[in-house]
Amino acid sequence: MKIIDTLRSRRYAVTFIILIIASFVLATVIPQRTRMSEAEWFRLRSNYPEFIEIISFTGLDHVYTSWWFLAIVVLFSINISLNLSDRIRASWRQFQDIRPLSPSEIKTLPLNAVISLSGDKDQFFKEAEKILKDFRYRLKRHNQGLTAQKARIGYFWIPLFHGSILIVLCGVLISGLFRFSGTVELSEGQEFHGREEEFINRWYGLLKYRPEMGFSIRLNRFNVEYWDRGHPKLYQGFIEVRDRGGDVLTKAVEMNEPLKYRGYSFYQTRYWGYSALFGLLRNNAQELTGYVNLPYKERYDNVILKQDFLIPETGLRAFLDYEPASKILRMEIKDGLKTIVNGILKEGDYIKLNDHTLRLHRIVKWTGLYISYDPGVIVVYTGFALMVLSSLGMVFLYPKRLWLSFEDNTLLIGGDAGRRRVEFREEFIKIVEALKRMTL
Amino acid sequence: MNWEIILYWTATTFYGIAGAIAISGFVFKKERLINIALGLSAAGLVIHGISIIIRWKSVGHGPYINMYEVMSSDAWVAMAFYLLLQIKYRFLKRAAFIVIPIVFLSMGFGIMSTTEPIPLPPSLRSYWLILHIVFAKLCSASFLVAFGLAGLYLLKLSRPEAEFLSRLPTPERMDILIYRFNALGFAFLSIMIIAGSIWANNAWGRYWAFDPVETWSLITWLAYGMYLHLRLNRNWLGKRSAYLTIAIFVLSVLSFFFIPYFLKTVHSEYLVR
Ligand code: HEM
Repeated sequence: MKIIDTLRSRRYAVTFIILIIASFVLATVIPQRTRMSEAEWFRLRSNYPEFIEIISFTGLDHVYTSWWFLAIVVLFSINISLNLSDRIRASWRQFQDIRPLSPSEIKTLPLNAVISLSGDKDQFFKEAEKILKDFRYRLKRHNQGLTAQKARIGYFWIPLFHGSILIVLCGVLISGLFRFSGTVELSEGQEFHGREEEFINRWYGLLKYRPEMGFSIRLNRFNVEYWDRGHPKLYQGFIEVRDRGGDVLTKAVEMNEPLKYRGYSFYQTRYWGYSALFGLLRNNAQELTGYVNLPYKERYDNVILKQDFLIPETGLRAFLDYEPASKILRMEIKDGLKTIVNGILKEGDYIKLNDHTLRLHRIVKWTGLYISYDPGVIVVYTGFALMVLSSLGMVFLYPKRLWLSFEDNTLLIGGDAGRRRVEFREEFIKIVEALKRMTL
Repeated sequence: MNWEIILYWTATTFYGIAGAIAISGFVFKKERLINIALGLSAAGLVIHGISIIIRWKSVGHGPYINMYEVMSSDAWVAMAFYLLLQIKYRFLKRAAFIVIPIVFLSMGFGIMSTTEPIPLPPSLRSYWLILHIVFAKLCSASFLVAFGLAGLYLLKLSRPEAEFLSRLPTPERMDILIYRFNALGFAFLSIMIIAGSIWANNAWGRYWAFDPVETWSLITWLAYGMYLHLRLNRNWLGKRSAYLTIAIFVLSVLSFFFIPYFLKTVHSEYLVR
């Protein structure tokens, strides 16, 4: 039980915060392996072998996935959770009830006032209740007097805020375990089924999990626009979702406008380029078609794009030069080192190669899409919503309490609003004034 | 002739003169000088506002794409926030000698970066981004006020007999105001980070990437959280609270404005040009 007591001690809050800050600082100051290319890392390792040795050994080269950082976060979460259950109980008690105070206790409150009174107490209470109701207080009669409170929900902001931190951390954990993401390059007219081999890059969470996509998408058309001076203005892919054989929906996917369908999200990236759609025919067999993507360049005016590929079944290699400005595609086909074809191709042209015919169907655009499946997002967003609510609540909607009680022929009024008593003073004074007017 | 730049420089000059007058008002303890400084600042604010509007119209997006636009609009918001606030809390007038020079320095810092118009890239077209930016400004402004109050508070404690500081509220009241503005800034900072995270998820498919500016904002957030804890649970009130406020404010300036210059980050793609 000693351990539990240590773990739940709220004295550690500041310690945890300092430890986490220190880890973040280290992670931005010390080079992190995951933020560097292999080449950069290699260069660093050959220049500073001892330094790299030390940071690799201690995990300082991958702070966020090091055992000690994860341990800090786990202990931190346990600490918050244990504290939270206590705090919620305490808040609930405060929310439900307000303990009547004796006249001498009221006099020790940070805000208090005394009004001398003559006349009927019951009549007075009725009037006072009306006034306090106008100030939107909830009232309770006791034999000694009256208690009132307002904005009781405010007792929950602090636990809710800490709870929202926990919820966000849970979401992050779910992402870490289940998140999948990948990139694809899709040409106009091309369909994507979510098979492993269709991705260019893939990143898995710890559990290496990815649900079957169960539907396919097709890029119908891709559109780019530029501002006058050549800065990019719009990347827009018109994507069609096909589920169970039929078209379900089409959407213009833009940056900041992803397509979401059955747990998967498709994001427009800023990468795009040209691709050539070829068909390969052998005798009377079915035509084999495929896209050859030409490389991405920041700007496509005045460039020549080069790409080469192996023509299936033939053992021949094709070399492409494409000039987007003039739309000229030059193709050279080599058998080993020997050039057997060299010339310009237009859409619809074909080339005979022994048993095969190679046809250039079209030149279209391809675009990069980033695909993610992340069940943690909804949890993180829930935490975010609660955090916004509670952090604003803490500032703007705080609970206030009043106690009214008689002592001989005087009325004692006390008020408290925790750390907000200075702001509460204005309202308190107004209430006292209103009560005074009533007794006159 | 570029009116936007001319007005920018005019406003900067107004702020500069106002700052100098506010400082001499503080040094020579002349209330009237401070009133003049505030008047000049208000005039500067109007001119500055026109400059921002001209730019907004000519580049076709709000002032948030590079350091020039960011510093200029931050300075505007901070100045507007301060001028409005000192109407409600009259004693804040006496923080003019801190606030106006800071605004002036931000203007200078902003004009050092290019004023070349940069059109809105597709990744930045998002309501979440606008929310992100608005709350970034609001949180900087609240923290700035807390910082100014903390400075005044320490001054008042060190020279309790000074006539100039005599009309400040009681130290207890100031202490609570420092806390209030830090807490308000903390709420705004939470919203800023959250909006940024949602924007990142919409634009790039991930809500957190440990980008250095992201990480340093989180560090700042944790630091203000630590401040609130120390204050509430360990009774760090008064002087300690004021010193901590100043230290964390410096940290926040470092995180928001200097980190993009030192570390490789997505924010420097458009901030640092
Ligand atoms: C180990 C983890 C933590 C523990 C045990 C903890 C505990 C507490 C406790 C006991 C309070 C005071 C509640 C009261 O008596 O009314 C509090 C307040 C607060 N905590 Fe935490 N906390 C932790 C982490 C954090 C973190 C990471 C943040 C955010 C950066 C945070 C932000 C706050 C805020 C904003 C308040 C309210 C302060 C105020 O209203 O002045 N806490 N916390």
